[in-house]
Order: sequence, then C-alpha cells, then structure tokens
Amino acid sequence: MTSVVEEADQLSRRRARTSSALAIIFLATQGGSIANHGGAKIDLPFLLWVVVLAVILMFGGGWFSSASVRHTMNDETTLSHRRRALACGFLVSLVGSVLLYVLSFFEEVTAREALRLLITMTIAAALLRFGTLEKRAFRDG
Amino acid sequence: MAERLRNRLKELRAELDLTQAQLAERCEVSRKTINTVENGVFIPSTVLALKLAAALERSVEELFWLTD
Repeated sequence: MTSVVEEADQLSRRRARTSSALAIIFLATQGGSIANHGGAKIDLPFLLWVVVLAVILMFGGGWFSSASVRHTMNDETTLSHRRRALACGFLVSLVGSVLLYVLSFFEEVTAREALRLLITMTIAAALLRFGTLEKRAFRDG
Repeated sequence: MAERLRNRLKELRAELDLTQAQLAERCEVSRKTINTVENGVFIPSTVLALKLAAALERSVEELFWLTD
C-alpha cells in the first residue's frame, strides 16, 4: 500500500514535470500567434489555456487524492517555491511592460497584443520557475 | 551579515535508522522538504523545526545552529 508521503512524492514529481512541459508548450503555441490575432472574436482557446495554467500554478494538482496527500503536496517547501515562482512572474511582467512601453514609441502596439504578450510571458515564466524549483528540490538528495 | 543555518538532520536521522520518507511521514511533510532541509537548500519554519526535533527526539538547538 502506498503511503501518504510516497503518493504525494509521485504526484509532486508529475506536477513539476507537467508544469515545465505545459509552460514550454504554451510558449511554443502562443508565441507565433501573438501578432496574428487581429480578429474581432475573443480567442477562447487562449483564455482557456491561461485559466488552466493559472489553476495549476496556484492550486497544483492532487485534486483526486485525499486531503492528507494534498496537504503534503502543498507543504511549506511547495508554498515557498510557489511564492518564488510568482515573484519571478511578476518580475517578467514588469520587465515586459517596460519593454513594451519603450517599443510603443517606435512601433504601433495594440493593447490586445501587449496584454496577450504579457499574459503569455508572465504565466509561462512563473510555471517554468515553479517546475524548475520543484525538480531541483527532488534532485538534491 | 552572512550567517548560514547548518543542521545535523541527516546524521541524526541515520542514527534512528529512518529514511527521508519515514521522517517526512512523522512530520507530516513531503520527502522533498526533508531533502531540501538536510541539504541546506531550504530553511524550515519554526513549526517544522520543532516537529523535526520532536521526531528525532532531540532539541532544536541540537539539530540546527548558525555559522558565519
């Protein structure tokens, strides 16, 4: 029988791998379409991606496991990694905003393009950072 | 001031013949947390430090100390 710690361990490793992989897939799929979305329709797949990735980042899996497994998966190391990942996302968002502000003086950037780029960069950076920190925490042993 | 937190977690855990997973179970945290504390990568909260000390039947001061 799998113990709480073992189950949390397996799920946390999977979450770390999934976080990094999803961030890369998101960047790869959204990167090329940032400048090509001039249509009037709301891009629902993009919004769905953002919501799913934000939920994974903030609440982090184990939804079908017991409360004790979820508690172990989200112990103080994980919370610290999450805080650091969010700080990384904030920094990327700030730097991206400054760069877009400067760019807007030389080239026309629509609000929609700017927001989409910022959202993509912010969520991908935070997820990548979270995945990296989590994977590193397992590797050190 | 660049003080560094050192610990004897690995040594004391080995004395009691406990694996990281067993110690994690006793403290209700993940094995990853035990691993990162042992390696000095993560500084535990006071609550976790007390739990670790209780699980290893030692005082917190025997587990953790500061160096320059």
